[in-house]
Amino acid sequence: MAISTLEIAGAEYKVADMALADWGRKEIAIAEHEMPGLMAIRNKYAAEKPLAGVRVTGSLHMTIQTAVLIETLVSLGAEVRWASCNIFSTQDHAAAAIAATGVPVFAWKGETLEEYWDCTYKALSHKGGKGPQLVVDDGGDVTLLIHKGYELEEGDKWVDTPSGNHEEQVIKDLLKKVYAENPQHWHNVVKEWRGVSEETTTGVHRLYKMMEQGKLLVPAINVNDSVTKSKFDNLYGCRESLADGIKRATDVMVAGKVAVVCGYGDVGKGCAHSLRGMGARVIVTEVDPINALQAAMEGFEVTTVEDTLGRGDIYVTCTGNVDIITLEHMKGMKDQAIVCNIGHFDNEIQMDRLNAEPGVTKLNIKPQVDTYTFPVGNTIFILAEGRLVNLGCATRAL
Amino acid sequence: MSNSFANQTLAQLDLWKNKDTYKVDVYVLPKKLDEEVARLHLEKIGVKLTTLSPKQADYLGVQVEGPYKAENYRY
Repeated sequence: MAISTLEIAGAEYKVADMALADWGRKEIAIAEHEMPGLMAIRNKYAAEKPLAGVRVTGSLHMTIQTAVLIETLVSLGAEVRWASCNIFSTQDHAAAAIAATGVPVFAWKGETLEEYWDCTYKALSHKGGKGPQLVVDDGGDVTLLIHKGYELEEGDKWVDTPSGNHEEQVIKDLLKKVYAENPQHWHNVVKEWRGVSEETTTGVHRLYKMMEQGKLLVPAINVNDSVTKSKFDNLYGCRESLADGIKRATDVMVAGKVAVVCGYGDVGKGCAHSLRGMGARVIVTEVDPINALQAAMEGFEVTTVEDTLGRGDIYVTCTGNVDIITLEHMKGMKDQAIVCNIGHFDNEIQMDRLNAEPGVTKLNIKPQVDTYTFPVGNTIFILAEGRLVNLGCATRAL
Repeated sequence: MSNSFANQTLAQLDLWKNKDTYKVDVYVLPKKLDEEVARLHLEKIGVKLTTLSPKQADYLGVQVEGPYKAENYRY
């Protein structure tokens, strides 16, 4: 894909196509009506500009809704730079509309991992070689990059350790490159960094872990656990966006299918009810007895993934954990089963093992929809390469 | 996403306003702000909220204007 790039003072961006900006602007205007909370805050503080001149870096799905957030921060006075927090989640018309306003944005749908981390780094590189004073993070990638860079400058050897996956190596290579250019870069960034607000369960989990290990460098606000976030966007947002993603990707009838929802937290609850609402017979898998009992009391069958193989038509992972759908599970699935993930990271499904497995034939149907055929003859669909299906195949963020 | 991003914006405002007093830790926004985010959406959705009488507020041991729930309330 040709990427529109412009990097001169005052107008710096990297997006797919600036010709999409007008369309993006029209959809932003519609979204403003759907986001009354954000608009009320904008109106309340616009005159006062409490973030005047504050350098803000955002790493959050570059969608139309996020554009309204960015413009709210700008209207409060902030100097904003933005990247997406997922390689598939950018809506290119949203990114173009934001770039057209002069806000530096580095995001397009279908980035490589190298491009993704480069975009993250560009979003962190404010004018005059400075870093952000505040960070809006989603999943914790910006927070991770700054901390790992800082630790490297303190003598930590993580960048020289073997990597568990390709993405980890990409991060290490980037950090080594930055270190070679300026061995004090991240210390200079941290000096003026005043805090991070984190959007989602996965990022919050990382923050608490860093805090426990004594590694956290700045105050952090866990936005995810505001009741008005997790009990709303995780639940009701996913209740709509999961079905939207599956429908747009596959066009299958959900009614009559057996759907397996792995995890019955806020997101899992939304997904299970979404699929039931469309007429699927929903099975839930859980490790926590409380959530399992909740699912059962709602009338869902609760069992293990193994127990569903051969009858499950649709699999959705929403656990925030790893290795939920294994290669062995996928081999044992019914022909034409659909497998997708709505958790933040793509490690809920064993994609690396699936892609490396000899004898498996992969066929791309359309962007973010692939089939894998196993030697015994069964074919499964993988949506968004195992990444967030609602961002990859629909539009709404978790 | 209006809920999420209203919380994000309030968090950014709070981090900056109180940057000199915040210690390194992980915080959640106060319940009062959580209620405020919800309140900002009610008109658009067409919700008519009931107001506590002072007697009712006193009976529950809360302020008329909130916050309405104890910290351990799970919604």
